[in-house]
Amino acid sequence: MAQSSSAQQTIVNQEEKGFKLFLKRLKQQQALLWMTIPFIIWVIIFKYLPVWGWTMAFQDYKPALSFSEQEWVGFKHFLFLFQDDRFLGVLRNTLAQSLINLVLGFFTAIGLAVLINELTNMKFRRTVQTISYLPHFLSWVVAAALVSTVLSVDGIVNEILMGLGLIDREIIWLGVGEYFWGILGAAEVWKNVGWNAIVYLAAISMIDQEQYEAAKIDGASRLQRIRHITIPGMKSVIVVLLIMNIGYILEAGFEPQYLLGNGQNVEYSENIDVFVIKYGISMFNFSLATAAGMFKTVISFVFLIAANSISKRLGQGGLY
Amino acid sequence: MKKKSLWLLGMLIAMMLFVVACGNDDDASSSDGGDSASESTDGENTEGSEGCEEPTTYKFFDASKSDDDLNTAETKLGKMFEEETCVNFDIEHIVGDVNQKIGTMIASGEYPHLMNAEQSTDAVIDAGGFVPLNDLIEEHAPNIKKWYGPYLEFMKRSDGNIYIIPSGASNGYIKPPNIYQGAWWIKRDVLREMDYPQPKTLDDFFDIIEEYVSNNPQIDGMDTIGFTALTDDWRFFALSNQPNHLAGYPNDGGVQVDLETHEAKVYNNNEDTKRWLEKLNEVHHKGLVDQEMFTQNYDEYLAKISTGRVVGFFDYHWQVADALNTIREDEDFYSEYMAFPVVFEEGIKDQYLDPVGFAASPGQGITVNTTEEERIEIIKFLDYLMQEEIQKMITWGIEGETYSVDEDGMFYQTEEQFAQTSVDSFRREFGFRTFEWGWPRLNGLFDDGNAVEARNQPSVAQLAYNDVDKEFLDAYGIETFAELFSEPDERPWYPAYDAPIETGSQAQLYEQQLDDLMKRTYPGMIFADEGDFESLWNSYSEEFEKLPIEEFEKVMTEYIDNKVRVAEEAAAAAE
Repeated sequence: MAQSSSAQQTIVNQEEKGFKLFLKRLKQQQALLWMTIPFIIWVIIFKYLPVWGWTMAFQDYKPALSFSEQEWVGFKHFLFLFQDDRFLGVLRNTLAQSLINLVLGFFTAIGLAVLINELTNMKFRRTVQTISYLPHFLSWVVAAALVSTVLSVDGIVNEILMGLGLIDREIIWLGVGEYFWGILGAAEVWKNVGWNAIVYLAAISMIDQEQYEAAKIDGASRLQRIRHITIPGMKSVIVVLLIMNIGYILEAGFEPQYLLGNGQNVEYSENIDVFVIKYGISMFNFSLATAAGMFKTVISFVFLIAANSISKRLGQGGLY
Repeated sequence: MKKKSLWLLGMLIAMMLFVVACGNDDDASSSDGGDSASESTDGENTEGSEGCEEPTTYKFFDASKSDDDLNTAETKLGKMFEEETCVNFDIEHIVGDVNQKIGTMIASGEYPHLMNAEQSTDAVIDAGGFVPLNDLIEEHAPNIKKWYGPYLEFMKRSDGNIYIIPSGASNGYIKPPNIYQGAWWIKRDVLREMDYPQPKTLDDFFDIIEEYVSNNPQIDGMDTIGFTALTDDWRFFALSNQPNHLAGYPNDGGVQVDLETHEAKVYNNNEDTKRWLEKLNEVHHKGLVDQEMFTQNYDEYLAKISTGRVVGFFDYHWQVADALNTIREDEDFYSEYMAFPVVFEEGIKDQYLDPVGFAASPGQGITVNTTEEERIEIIKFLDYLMQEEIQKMITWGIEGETYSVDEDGMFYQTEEQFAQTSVDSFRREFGFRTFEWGWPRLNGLFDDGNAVEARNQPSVAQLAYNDVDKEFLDAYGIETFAELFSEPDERPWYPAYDAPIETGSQAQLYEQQLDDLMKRTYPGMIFADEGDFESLWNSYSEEFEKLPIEEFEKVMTEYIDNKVRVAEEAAAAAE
């Protein structure tokens, strides 16, 4: 009895200690905490307060009316979304486009970063890097016009393929739905690969050079060095980016699909964002647009948490 | 230690200030529409007899056309109006999609003072963005009341209020000399080479194209395109309206209206549409249809036409005007296109020319972002424009400068005046381009018998024809190009596309879903392999019949009935 009570005593003491420790740390780091306050305010104003707008999804929202005058309709707009025959197709397109972007984007960016890192001629290296990330700064409106010109009947792609004798008739690339995902993926890679590679290049530059030297002395070839030093060295960055990108899995983008989409490829080009523009914003149905936005947020949340816990279980550590 | 925390405190304050400053910035810029306006209207007190030292500037957002933004006082006409009324307008034109732009305005509640919301007009009214004009017109606008008098009832919405003033109050009918509306166009070179044939039916039209294409597989080194069409985004109707016109109906917007019963019927699944799609499919197999028809955008389409590669197409003149004007300015007169009223078969009376009608929408509306005084000042300006002599200035210009008057009081232009007023840059500087459409305006004839628009005055129209024009007029034995076209039947409801469609209604959903369905399936049917057409058509009509057709037809029929009733009442009252 006496023993157990003394044991309890020590636990309480420890708890106090823990709390005290917390206070002590708080005091020690107060300068840092103060500095975060503006950003917390920013997050609250721009990320949490707008959540209030979600109420719109459950109303037949009319901009002219005040909040109390709005008509509440429950899940009507969600039902419209999920009961529409095309929504499944739209969801499929969103996921497919997004996955293609994610996978292609990852491998090409990592590949490019590794390749650029292997270049020893600094001038050439800089040139390659600049050229590869320049398209990132083009607006999609311009980029889409370039893509559709390249792919038009008398565009360069058809001319090359005809010249090589690979096809015997020009192909209307944007007029065949099945090609759309591929075209989109390629266009995204062309536009963003250089830019995405920058962060991996940064990760590579953090790797200790001595490791390379040691490996060289041990007789590792170039490929072996890439495989056993460069790639493992980038691992943590890769994982963090992967988790973050999976959170955006339903954000397949809007502009390229909207700009390159047409009646002939609509069954493959229309994704959630385009659908929302057509049936939400353009029809002044803000409630539907909000409902679709909510749906996207919830799915993204699920993906993010899942990816995070999987990565933790694989021993890679998560975002939190 | 102390120093350090002081430094940190300083950082913190600096950061807070930064955040606050940004916040303020946001405020200032977001309320731009409203605040700057009320500032500028402070100068309003100076209004009155003492001339105009500080004119009031209002903001006018015009979604009906895209053009350079300007202030009306930068034009000659606008400057004259400003001196008289002490008001000018900063005009901002639409860039990009109308619905998105207006949707943003509605969501934020920030409007310009005066606005033309084009196809989003109904949404702005539903959102309470426009103020009722009934009393303002009654009290401050005698000229608007006079000229728009017969149409005031049409302008009223279901709640009895007038929210917008459309451009064009018809006053008498004058058959235009040239085609400014829909038609089937064929390149003049083609007609000349084939000894001026006159296509009357759709079969004739494609026979001409077929013969020409087989004789001339290339034009100027580029592959000849037999037939192309405009399908870009909202302009898709340039394709989908075709069966309606071929069957002898005017552009009534998605429905065919019976002349007797006034019943509105959609035509997307009837024989007319099927027959037309089948024909396009047939000529596709002959290699006459442009393969890029559904992937090209508006600019690419215009570029194609202006290069002269296209043998024929259907479109509304105002959509291809840029391309046709380019050809004319290049003095490449045989690459111009001639318009024909093509129908399915002989015996169908074509209805390509617009009937005397009154489109109640779109138009200019005064938004809720105005004070009572501002509303009065704006409506007074609009009323000022509706004075007959001002109307003449807007369309004809200044006597002795841009037009002349003969001893009978008829207006005419000398060749010099005509040449001057035909130049786009002159039309801009003078203000024709700003005021000729979109503001309150008459249509048809002035009471003294002159055409409202100079280009419709017979003497001016003849002046406009060059030698090549005359060659074609002679070849077809006509005086004006519109002579080939039938006179429009009386359709008091015209145009039915004007019917207000309520936001969030089934009818609105129908329009959007139909648009999607057509864009998705028409390419497949037109480009169908031989033998596949029938089954594609069947699955399309099945899908089409699932749409809320009845609700849409009901809205249209009710609208037409109402317009007919109002017109009959007005006619009865006149007797």
